[in-house]
Amino acid sequence: MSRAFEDPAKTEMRARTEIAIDAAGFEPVENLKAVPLPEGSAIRGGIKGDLQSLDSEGLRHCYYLRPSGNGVVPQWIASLATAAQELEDCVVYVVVDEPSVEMTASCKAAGAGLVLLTEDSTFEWLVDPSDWTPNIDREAFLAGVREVRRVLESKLDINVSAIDANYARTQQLTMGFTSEKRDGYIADLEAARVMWIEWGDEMSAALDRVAAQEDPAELAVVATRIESGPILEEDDTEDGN
Amino acid sequence: MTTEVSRSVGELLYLDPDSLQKNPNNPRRYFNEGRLDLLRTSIQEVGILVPLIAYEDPQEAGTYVLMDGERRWICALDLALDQVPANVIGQPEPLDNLLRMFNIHNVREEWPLISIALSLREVMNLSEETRESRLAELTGLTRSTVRRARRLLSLPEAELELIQNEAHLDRTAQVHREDLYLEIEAATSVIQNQLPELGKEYPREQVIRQFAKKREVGSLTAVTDFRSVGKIVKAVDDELVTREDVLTSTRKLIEDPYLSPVTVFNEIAAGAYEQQAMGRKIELLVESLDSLDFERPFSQVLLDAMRDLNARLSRILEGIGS
Repeated sequence: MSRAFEDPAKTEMRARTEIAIDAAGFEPVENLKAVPLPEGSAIRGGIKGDLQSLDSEGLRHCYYLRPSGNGVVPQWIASLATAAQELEDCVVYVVVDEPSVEMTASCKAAGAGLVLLTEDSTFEWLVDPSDWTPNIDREAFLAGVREVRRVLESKLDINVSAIDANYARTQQLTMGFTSEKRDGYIADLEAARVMWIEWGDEMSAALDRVAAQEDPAELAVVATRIESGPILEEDDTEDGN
Repeated sequence: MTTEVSRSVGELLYLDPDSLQKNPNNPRRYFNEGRLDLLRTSIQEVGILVPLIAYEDPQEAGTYVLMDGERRWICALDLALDQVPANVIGQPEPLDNLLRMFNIHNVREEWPLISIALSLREVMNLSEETRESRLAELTGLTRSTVRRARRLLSLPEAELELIQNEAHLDRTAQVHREDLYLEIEAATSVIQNQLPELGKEYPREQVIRQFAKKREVGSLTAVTDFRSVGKIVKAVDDELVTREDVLTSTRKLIEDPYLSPVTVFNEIAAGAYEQQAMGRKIELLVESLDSLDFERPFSQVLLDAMRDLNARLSRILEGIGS
């Protein structure tokens, strides 16, 4: 099932993955089932994926499609894959259309399977999730990553909310302005918001990389960057952004 | 499963994400997977902290239309959450709904200009407001954005559809770009206003289509190539080329999709503009020569330069005379 708001690249990948599932001899699942997380899981939701299939032994494969997914596996999928390792009837696979060293390593670390969707819509199995071995140190490290992520979210929330609040009050705040000055004020707000959002995306991707690599030194570097915030242009600082 | 604490308007409910649908007034657009990852991870780890805002669909009891929180809702579906917090409000009036979508989403989600334009058209229809300043106040847009959106709206529907169909693509992958059409619209206006004879021969829709074809067949080096049209037409006002020549060349430009506006400019007007520029430089030189102080000695360098100039001018003028 494709969704109305879905990126067309993902819709196209979805169609090709359905062909690959069929070619691999698995039974496609029409109505996706949300597999509950193991009891006591620290995360919310369930394991569903963009597509599902059942193998001959009834093992449910949940496929997460990542068109242009040439970075590391995002933390939310990594967490689901690790959680799935505690379940007997479900595994998580990440589907990419370009292989990358980073993606392969991060799937291995998280316990996710990785499949390459070839141009002729077949699967090439790159990482087998059953090869995963639990690592107690990894969970402790990920707790540290989560803490830094909370700092990032707070910083983003405070700054973006302030911009949104000003935007909502544009009419009052620009009363008496010339139209050029009002346009400039709105353009500054929009630019500041884009800057914060892009910075947030960049830092989030950096945290995903750190989590995949389990590198404490790099985590410290990213934490410092998040603490410092985006580098503001002189004009922006004058506006109090 | 829908867990309803209360059905009272304005109260917090916990809704099944499958019972929600996107707002029909929110423009058609797609979310980049990578850009949702931060939110997905956050919601997975701490939940949805800010409730969505929705109203109950009058057509289908038990289903809700989103006013705010489309990204959070998509993430909830991806994370297989069984419920999401939502503040349920009364169904807004159509104009109120549209204006809220503008004010909630425009700054947050960087609507493409085509989405702004189409929503603005709805605002104008519902409010019967056409004043640029008032529309800017109502929607929170800048006046220049309102102006550009209205210029887009002046395009034929078929062209708007082409822009809309590609709005989700990266700018570099778009053929029918908004800025292309703003340039085409400006060039077409120049032709219609300054060369009304052609306006009678070629309807505006036809000129726009023919100009868009240039981009489709790859005969432009940049969308700004259309600025040459203004310079070609202005050359008539400046008496650099004849009106007849400009009419003939512009006809060719309209009819031949493989002919670039820059090529036409170079063929018909570039040389004349160069001569005009040289004439202005000569005027400046003459002014300088007139202000020479003959009571002070001239340097040898200046004397040599003036003799060289004199010789060159004589040769050119003799050449023209013969």
